[in-house]
Amino acid sequence: MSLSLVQRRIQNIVAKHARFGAQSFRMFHAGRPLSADHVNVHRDTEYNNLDTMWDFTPESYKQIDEILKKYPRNYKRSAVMPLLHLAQKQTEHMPEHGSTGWIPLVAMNKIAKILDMPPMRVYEVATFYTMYNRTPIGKHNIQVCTTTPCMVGTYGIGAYTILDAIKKHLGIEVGETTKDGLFHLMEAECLGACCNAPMMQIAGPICNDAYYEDLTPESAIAIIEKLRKGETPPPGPQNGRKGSIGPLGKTVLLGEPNAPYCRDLNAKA
Amino acid sequence: MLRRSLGKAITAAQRLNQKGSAAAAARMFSSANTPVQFSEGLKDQDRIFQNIYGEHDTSIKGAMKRGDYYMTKEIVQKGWEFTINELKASGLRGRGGAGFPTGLKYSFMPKKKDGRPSYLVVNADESEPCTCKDREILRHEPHKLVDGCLVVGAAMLAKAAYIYIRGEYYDEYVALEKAIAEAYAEGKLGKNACGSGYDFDVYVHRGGGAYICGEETAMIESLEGKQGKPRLKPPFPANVGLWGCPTTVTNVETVAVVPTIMRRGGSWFASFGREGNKGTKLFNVGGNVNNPCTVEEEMGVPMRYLIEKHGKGVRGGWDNLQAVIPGGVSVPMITKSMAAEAIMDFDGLRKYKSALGTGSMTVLDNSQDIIKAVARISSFFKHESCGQCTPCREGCMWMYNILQRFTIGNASIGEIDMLDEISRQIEGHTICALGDAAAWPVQGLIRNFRPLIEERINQYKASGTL
Repeated sequence: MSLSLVQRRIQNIVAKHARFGAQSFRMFHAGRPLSADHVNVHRDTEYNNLDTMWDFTPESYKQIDEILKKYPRNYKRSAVMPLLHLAQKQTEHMPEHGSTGWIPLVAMNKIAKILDMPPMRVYEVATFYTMYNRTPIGKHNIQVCTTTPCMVGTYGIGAYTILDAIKKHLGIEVGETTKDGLFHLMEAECLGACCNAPMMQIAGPICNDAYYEDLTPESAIAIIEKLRKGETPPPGPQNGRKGSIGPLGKTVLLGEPNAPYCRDLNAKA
Repeated sequence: MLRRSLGKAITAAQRLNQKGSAAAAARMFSSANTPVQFSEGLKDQDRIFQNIYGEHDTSIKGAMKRGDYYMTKEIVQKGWEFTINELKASGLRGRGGAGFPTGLKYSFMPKKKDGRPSYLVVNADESEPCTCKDREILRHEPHKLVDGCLVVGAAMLAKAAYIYIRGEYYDEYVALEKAIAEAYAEGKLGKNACGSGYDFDVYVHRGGGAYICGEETAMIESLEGKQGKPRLKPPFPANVGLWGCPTTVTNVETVAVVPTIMRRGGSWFASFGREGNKGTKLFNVGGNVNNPCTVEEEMGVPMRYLIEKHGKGVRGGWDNLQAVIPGGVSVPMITKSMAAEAIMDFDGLRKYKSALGTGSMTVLDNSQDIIKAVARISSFFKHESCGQCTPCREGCMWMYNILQRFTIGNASIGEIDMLDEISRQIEGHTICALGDAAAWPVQGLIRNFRPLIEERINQYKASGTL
């Protein structure tokens, strides 16, 4: 029986690994590339490098003073999350730094300086929490909640129906931005409005993280079209219900609310 | 909300409670207490959250008209022992999911000062899927929470309260900040709060979108400006918590009901529900029901009553019901026959190897693919695992991958047991309870819907696609 040279080589390699106790020969293995909201590395780009011109505005510095008052003076680093939020919010209104809220590298370094902490500790926080964007995305960040309660939906419309409708309408996939830089689409984990499923949150200069609840594919697209025109779509339930009152009406709290009352606190029980 | 870290302490507390509740439990579970017998429900005047739907004025003026801050001064001046004793008498158990007796928990805070201040941390990081009860308090009844912070903070001799609100709740954050600003302007907070002579501050801290920060030690880490990764316990937060100081982390709803309990008395609160599961609670009815809503009911309300009365029935009628997730996705789902008899309280759902959790149910009708629903839950936990402990970080991924194959049936029957085994390797082998939370829905699926999985695997095999 004659084996080709290649086959013999493979046999040799397998035998060599078997000596080290490997039961089977494993090929090279690489992890899958991570999704959009999980990119934890920084790569220098034209708009995001150590020389980017970025600073907090004077108004923001005033806010920083207010924020720092909340925490003990020797634990300034507690303010890292509010400051990151502030930096992200500020970038929303600075078109020269991309069109929506994101946190450039220099902003993180600046925060580290303000709070007397190593820059690495700021990067750690900024990469851990999902709300901080470290790359520019579209102007309006559409986050459709697709966790189980929204996926199940209420009116026979699940979150994936909404997501598909938006994808089709904007012509983008999840994690992508439209060519005009106006919309970015994300799949979000539970946003905590499960009685009003399905719902989405839109971050950006117009919507300000507003919730749009009780969606249908039509109402979701109507919201996006309003945004495209620069109008503010009214947040909250889109089917006319108020808050978490059921769409078929209230079942409780039908009368007037209670008047102030307190028992005799000194009475013995 | 992720407060299941108290799990072990809970079982101990429940063991303590068992003696007292045995008779009551027998009474509740007997045929005399079937859902049909339950006809009344809670009366409107006994509901603590009178403005839960936001129909009335949410400002401090409106809130004071509804009784907030009424005689708070006198309550605070009665001293911490009064509040703690009253809470113990009320039988209030934590509303964040684990159900630890609140009076006991608050009494753990040190009363002798060693130079360190104490802190109250309010857990408003409501991220558990199916749960949206605290959101209603934050946006429509913020003054109940602020009032509660003062009463509870005074009972713990705390210097300040930090309300950790999830980052996505931006409008709720604005509403809460407004309420706190109003309270400061009216002298209800700050120096000499409410004129009681007690100095107390309330601050709001916004999260950044991490479910794990609902776990108490992760929340403390996050407040300290670090990644929200849970700490090992002991030391418990009541000894070494926020900035190394004694801290108690407690749920929004728990804090918000305390002033009303003080005003109306622990015995009033204890008159609802049954032994070990007393009081009123906010429930969410969501999913495939005709009228999804948030509603306050007494503990021990039958599940079917909640679905039929407040949810106005399952879409397509009761017979169209397939399963119910009773309290946030981290609790195992139960079947239709169980849902018909289940009683919504901590012990009532343990009977079905499920849990009350946050009391927020999601109803799934026959049109839903249950395996896909659980696979999505697994995907959620995979996404939210902080990555500290290997069983959770890797195991959640494995469970998700296997469940993904189960949804189409591309698996062998033996893998069902393998999945169960993996879930048991995760459960209890992690620092915090996220591992348990990820394992339970999978275990619930296998325990209650195993034939469904087997059927799908066989179908796939029969179809010949390999």
